Amino acid sequence: MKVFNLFPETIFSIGPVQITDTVTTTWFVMAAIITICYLSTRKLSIKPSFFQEILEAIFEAMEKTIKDILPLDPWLVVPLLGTLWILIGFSNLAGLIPGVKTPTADLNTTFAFAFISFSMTHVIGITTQGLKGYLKHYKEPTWILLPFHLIAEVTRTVALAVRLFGNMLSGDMIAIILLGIVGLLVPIPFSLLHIIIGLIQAYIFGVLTLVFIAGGIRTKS
Amino acid sequence: MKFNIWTLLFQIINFVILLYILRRILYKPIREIIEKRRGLIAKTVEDAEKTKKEALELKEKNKKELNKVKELQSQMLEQTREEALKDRNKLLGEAEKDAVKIIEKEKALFDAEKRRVEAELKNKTIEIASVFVSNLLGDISDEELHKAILRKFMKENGKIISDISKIKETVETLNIDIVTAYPLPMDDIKLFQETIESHIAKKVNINTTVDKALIAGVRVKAYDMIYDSSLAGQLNALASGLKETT
Repeated sequence: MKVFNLFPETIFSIGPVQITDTVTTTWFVMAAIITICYLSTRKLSIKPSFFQEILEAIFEAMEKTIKDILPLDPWLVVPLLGTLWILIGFSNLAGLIPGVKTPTADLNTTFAFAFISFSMTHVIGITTQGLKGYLKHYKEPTWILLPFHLIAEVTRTVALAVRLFGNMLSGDMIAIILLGIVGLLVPIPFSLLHIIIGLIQAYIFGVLTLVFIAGGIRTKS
Repeated sequence: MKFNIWTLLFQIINFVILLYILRRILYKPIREIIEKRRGLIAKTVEDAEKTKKEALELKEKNKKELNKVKELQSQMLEQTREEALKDRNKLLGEAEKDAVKIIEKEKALFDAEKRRVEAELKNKTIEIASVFVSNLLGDISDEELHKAILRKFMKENGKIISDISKIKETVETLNIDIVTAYPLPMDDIKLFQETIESHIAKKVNINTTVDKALIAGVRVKAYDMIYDSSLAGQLNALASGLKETT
């Protein structure tokens, strides 16, 4: 009996470079995303089709969310945040395909995304108000809180990564365990739950990043 | 699970690649189309507002024009009414004058006609009366009456003789016509002839005729003078006298 391995495995190596199945799955996910996006934006027009209307509604909702939180041009952040949402969302849902491991159930992936979120916060913070202006928010309201600020920077990023990882891994685990115990039909409601959890986790990841960015900018005003 | 730096790096790279690609094929076109539509909507709204403003201005202008036209119309109406009133009064005055003239003319005509009719009526009356009287006289008169009148005439012949003697005529004989209602006796004729001859130195020739129309009496004609003592002659004299009195 073949044991289904929940954890990433190295598929092949090029010299010292190890390519895990997480990475290959992500490539497939990316290919799927690119194909869908290409097809959906090929025929955009002033008079939108039904599909285009949905697409625009999604982007306008995104724009509005960002506008509510950030005092910046929303389109500065939309691509970054949108890509984060799309990639995490699709990755979370990839695990629903039988035999495919969820890329976000790999701690390396979630840490990579968390790192992106972390860098994004600082890059946007520095570019919008300069290095000095940005660093000022660490001594607010007093100098005493500086260590806590620094700890928060680390912990919240780790929490971001671990939260996503834990949720996704648990979803996969539950599916596999239930599949082993009760057979085919019972895991279906859990799979539906997994879809919802996947989308919610992607949303939470993006919104938290947004809030962190905003936290770095708000101090200016 | 172990930490794999390559997976982490690859995932970061994957993200960057995806970001780059999606920026090209997703965000840019979507953003462009959304902004294009917003621009179009803004422009359309602006155009609509502009058109609305223009329409309002046009409406205001039209209203003003309409008011002006109405004012002009009322003015013209008033003017026309005044003129019509003036014309009416003028026409009325003329008509009244004409009517007075016509009435006067009619009255004059009527008066003339009245006078004519009255005169005619009077003449007719006189005529009828004289005819009646002459008929009456004709019925009641006889030779006795005639003789009485004749005698009266003979007694008064002095006037005739004096009239005749005044006429200085060169002719030798004097013709005297005597018309009587009844035949005159020869004695009387002779007497008359001699009476005249005795007063004028001329020969007197007397012609006698009998005319019943005289009713009674005698009519003498000498030269152009007529002495009428007949009833008919007197009746005629009376009738013409009556006619002249009006």
